[in-house]
Amino acid sequence: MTTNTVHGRSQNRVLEPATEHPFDHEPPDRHRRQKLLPWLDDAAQERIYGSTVLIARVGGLGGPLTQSLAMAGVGRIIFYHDGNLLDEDLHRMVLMSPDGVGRPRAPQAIESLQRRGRPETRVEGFDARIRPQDAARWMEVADLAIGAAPTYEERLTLGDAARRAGKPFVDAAMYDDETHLLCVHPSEGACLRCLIPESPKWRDDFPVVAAVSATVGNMAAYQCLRILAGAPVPWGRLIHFDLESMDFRKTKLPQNRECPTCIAGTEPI
Amino acid sequence: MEVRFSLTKRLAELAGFQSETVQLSPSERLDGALRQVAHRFQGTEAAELTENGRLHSSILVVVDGTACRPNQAADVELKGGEDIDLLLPIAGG
Repeated sequence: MTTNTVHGRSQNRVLEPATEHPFDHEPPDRHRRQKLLPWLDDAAQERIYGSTVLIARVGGLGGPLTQSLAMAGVGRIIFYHDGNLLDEDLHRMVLMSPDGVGRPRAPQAIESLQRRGRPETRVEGFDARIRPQDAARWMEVADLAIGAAPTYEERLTLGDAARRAGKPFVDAAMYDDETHLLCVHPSEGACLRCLIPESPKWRDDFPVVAAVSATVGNMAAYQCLRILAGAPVPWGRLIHFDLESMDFRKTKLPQNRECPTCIAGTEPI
Repeated sequence: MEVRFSLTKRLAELAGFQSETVQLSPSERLDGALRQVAHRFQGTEAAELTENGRLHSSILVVVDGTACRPNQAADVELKGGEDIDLLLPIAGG
């Protein structure tokens, strides 16, 4: 029995469930509604079920991102996220809960993602920062790499590994109400290192509200799903979205002729 | 001739200005215009985004919607009246 509060005409009314639901005689299909999208037919959904993603960080941006991927049916999620949960993380990290403060974030994220995914979903989390050797190893099995870390080092590590493995890479970032999103093709056009040749020296205790980090996280999740499904995405375009002005800009990135990642190219695995 | 620079928000915070019109001598190229902006960054938090009077290589320069890298700016001719956007990569997650 469902209890619901109906504001207005009749308050505190108890709603009786319908005696028979129209779908009672059909096998349940959790993803039936998303498969109504033109680019996400049964075959595309099967590709998503069979896919593996590797992501750096599942915090304010990567948390909503991976949550959406798990809910959409991504088969295997591998993430790296070090450190213990702080109370000040709770305003934006949707995979964490208050009773986890002071404990490592990674196990909490695993539990949340496992709960959001299908029973078959595999979630593997590491309480560590991803290193180049980790990224190279995982890119042998991952279909897609995702940068959602607050450091350029981790983003570049994943971006380099993806390009070398000939796999796509999605980078999403935010600062205050400014967001960036970049889909890097497995082998063509600019990569993240074309944009950021080396990690800039500057670092910040960046201002963040969950409404912004979750927005760009879910924008990235949508592009990830399209990539996994085999649908077109704006490869090599830096999407800049300012949530204060609501200005949306898409800029084709030039490939850096001196980019060491692009010069090295794809290495056989 | 003159060109107009616009900075994305985080960069504008560091530099202390969001947009600026820069006066250039005729036939000046993009690198000359960028040097003026780099000079304007001195004395602000954006000074660390400059190297030897040039903008840091990670700043994306977009001239009338077409992106180029600061180290390619010497090849870009300006006619005057261009809108030049400077985008600072961000990494918050």
